[in-house]
Amino acid sequence: MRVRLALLPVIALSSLAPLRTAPSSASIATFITRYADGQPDEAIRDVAAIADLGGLRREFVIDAQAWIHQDPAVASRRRAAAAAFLLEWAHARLESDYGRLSDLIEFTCAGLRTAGPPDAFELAWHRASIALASRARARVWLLGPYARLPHQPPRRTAPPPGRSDSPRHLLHALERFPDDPQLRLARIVAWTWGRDDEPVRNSRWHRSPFAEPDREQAAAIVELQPLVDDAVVGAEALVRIGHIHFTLAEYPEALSALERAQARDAADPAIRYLAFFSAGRALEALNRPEEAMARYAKALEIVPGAESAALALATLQFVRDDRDAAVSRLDAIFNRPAAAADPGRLVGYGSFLHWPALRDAMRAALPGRRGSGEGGR
Amino acid sequence: MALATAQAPPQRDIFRATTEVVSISVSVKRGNAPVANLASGDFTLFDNDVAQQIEALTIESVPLDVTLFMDTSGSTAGALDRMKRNVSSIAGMLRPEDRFRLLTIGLSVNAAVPWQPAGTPIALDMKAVPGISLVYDAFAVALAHQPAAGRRHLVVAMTDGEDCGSLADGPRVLEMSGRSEAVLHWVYVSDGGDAPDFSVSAWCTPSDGRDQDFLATAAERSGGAKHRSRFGDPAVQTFAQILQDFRRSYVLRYSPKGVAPAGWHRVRVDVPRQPGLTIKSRSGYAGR
Repeated sequence: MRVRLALLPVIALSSLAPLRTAPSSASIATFITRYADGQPDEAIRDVAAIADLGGLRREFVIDAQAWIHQDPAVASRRRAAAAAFLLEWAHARLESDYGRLSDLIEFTCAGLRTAGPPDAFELAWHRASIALASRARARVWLLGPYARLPHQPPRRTAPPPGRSDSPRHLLHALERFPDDPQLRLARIVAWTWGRDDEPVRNSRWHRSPFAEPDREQAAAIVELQPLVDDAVVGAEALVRIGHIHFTLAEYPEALSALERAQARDAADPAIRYLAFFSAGRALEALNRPEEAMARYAKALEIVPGAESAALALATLQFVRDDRDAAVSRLDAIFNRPAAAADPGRLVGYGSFLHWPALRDAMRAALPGRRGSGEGGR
Repeated sequence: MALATAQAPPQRDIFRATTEVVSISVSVKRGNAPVANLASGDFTLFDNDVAQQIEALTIESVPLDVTLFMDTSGSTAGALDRMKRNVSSIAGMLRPEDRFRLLTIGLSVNAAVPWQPAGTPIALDMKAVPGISLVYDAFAVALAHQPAAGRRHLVVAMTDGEDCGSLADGPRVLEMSGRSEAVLHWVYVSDGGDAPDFSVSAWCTPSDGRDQDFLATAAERSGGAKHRSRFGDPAVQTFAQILQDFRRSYVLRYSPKGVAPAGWHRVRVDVPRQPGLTIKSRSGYAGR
């Protein structure tokens, strides 16, 4: 977990800065205006191409805030545009510079929360911001150190000094939207990070083969159960329950949860895919390879070309001496450009799995989208 | 090498570990120098301790399929520019009749350069992706290739071996190495530096070497080896040595007799009349 830059210095930098009234031609406000005025992809492409973030960071904190407040009539629209722009910019630089932009995200969060009552855009923005942090598995940034699930008793002792400066971004979002099932699900999933051993099972440092899995994560199942019947996140809650059982080596229980998820026939293809793909992995662990291969094949019907199920199926075929089928499957996958996002690879990154949909929802929720730049140019 | 038995092997010379014909790559060295001019009669070959008749010996003329795997995870991100230069240098060592592909890893295993004839210009799109490291899956993909008749498959993997998030685990990679026709060399490279300070978090840490080294064992089992090098010129030199040795290695073919087809076949090769040689070959194959 990296929180490289403290939030307070950024806010202090903002409050001491002189307010400029008009952006320069290459300023961050120009990018934001383009973003809000119907050229979001182009604006993000161009800003992401600027290697040196130092100047842009300063402009976002100083100049963009001045631009937002320049005209009270459009301030809320500009604030929303700047907030959405920031997340897409952070996404474009996610794998190299997320730690340089996460403090700006929390800075922006504070601005949204203090600007007025919760609204549809803020909810969409929070969901998207949490998805980005999920790719970084930024548990402490989202929940704070020593986070507890709602049903768990609080810690009896305070965290050591210096460990309590996390922004607790996800908790801010839940304060604003306490009943939102997606945020509630995100909180539970984030809590499991660092306890979900399975993704690091091949690291030789990790633990001895005789070590027991970290059972602490089973507490998340308690919290996930109430979400199982939710119309929006119920199927994913079952998938997440299945994953927790899987990482605890409780394969029959994992399979049971994943089969319940299959029966839901979720609208989201990624969740339908995971219900079958993960069931295949559980069946492999139960030494039922024929059934596992059938589940992988079903997953590939849902997301054709998904590398994770193709690889899982092909390696199983290969060691079962169906070599021609294995090779031909892998050749089909790897002798062409990489496919789009693969749910089987993203499942360990929380709601980042849904980033494209969350980004689109955030864009759609922008207030007065095409007119947000009026009066500022 | 002048010992090639045929410049263009006929289609039936399939170098596959099937129950019909088994091919075994054998490297023979005295010190660091490959030993040339050996004939099939110089070798003895035992399949599950049963002596076998070597039917053919081939060397040098066989075109190669070469899979290069470059670890583009966060743990080697500091070497990305050197990696890119290494790819071009390595691809340039191959002959026109060879084929080349490059595997990299990010949020999935990627064929950054799909199979293509050697000498074809390479359009490289490599970037470092932190927070995940699909090393074992990349090994599995590399090993699952099946070369066309009359070709051999060399896999060279340049990685620190630190896996995170793979579907394949160590035993699966090991099992595949026993069933693959590829000769696998793992070039351990560890000087890639850390991921950029502000990238997403990584959740893998360096090895303490407590558990079985599946990748090194897989390489040994295939007839290859584990090497140590650094990205940049040293990696190119290491690859050049591997390639040279591979081209100078012998391919022994035989039809197993007196052994049950199924199960693991332990293979032992020797050159009994020339003591003091270093002989490396596949340790066995999985029969069907």
